Amino acid sequence: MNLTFPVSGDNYGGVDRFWFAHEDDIAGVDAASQIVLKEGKFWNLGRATKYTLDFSNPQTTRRGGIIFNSTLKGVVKKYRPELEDVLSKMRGERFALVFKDLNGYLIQVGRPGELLTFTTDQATGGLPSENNQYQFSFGGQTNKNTVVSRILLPELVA
Amino acid sequence: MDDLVFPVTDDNYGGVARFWFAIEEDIAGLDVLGNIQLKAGKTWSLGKGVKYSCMLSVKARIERGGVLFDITLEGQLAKYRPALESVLAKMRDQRFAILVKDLNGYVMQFGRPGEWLKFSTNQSTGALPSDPNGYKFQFTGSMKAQPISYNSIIVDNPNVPLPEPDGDPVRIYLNGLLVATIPPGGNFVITTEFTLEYTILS
Repeated sequence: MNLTFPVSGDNYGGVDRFWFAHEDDIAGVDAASQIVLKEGKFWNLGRATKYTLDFSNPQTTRRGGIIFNSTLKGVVKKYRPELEDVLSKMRGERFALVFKDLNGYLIQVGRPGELLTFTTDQATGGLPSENNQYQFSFGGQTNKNTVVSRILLPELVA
Repeated sequence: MDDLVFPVTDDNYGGVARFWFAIEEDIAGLDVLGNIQLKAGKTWSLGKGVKYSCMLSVKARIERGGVLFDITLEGQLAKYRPALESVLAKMRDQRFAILVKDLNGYVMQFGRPGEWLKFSTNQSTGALPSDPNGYKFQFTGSMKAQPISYNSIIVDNPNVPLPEPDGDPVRIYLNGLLVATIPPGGNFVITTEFTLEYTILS
């Protein structure tokens, strides 16, 4: 097998936006490993402060085999009660994700039994010029790479 | 589940404007919204740190049992004084609920019966005359309960006078002539038959 993939066009870093589905809303995966939602359920849209979304999936080799640590993290600015309400429903819950990178590729992370847990880190900063914000992350550790290309669906065109 | 789309459309200042704290013995319980209710005759105590030194951190930690929140409100108090030390001595190692008002005006509540924040200090004189001589203080604790917005009226301690406003006086000029000098905290009333907009430049 060859590993020769020269980049011929632009290659932007970063994540444009993401969608998340709660484990209770997931029916399973189809033959192409695509997450299928239960009837009447849909993907929720997530956006963060511009250029703060960052996906990583480092691989470590342990005695038992290869472990993948998938993380999508980002920043949402400014504490607001209605934002806190949404975050409080998400903390500690498990999700499957689809994110769109800045080159336009859709990537799906997580699948039933190997989902990502949501958490936040709030900080006001000390100075008015510092950030009043949440850093959030979806993180999970799996022994199989759950990252697959996502086939475009109408609900993800937004 | 709701979408996570909250663009910021106006100012977003970092920092904490002020905070209030109530010791566990003064707390009667929670109302239906989860807001702390004080016992009759008790009031929230006001806290202010050195300007722009107070900061709040709320880290959500996922454990086997569920989500835990590690909460820290920290700040600085300048200059050792016996009166200040006396207040701090009463607070150290005691348990509190706190209200934190950020510089955007939102008030958040942390701590509740069974899940309090503990108060501690770290005093330092520095070594050089130019070093800070003061205290770093912090309220810390872990909670299972989600932080909530505080929606009740905060009743301040009536025995504590409001601090005197500080700053330089503002001079008002009209067509180049000085017509008034307004001390910090003072008012300047303009009576006119017209609707005008005034901008105080300095």
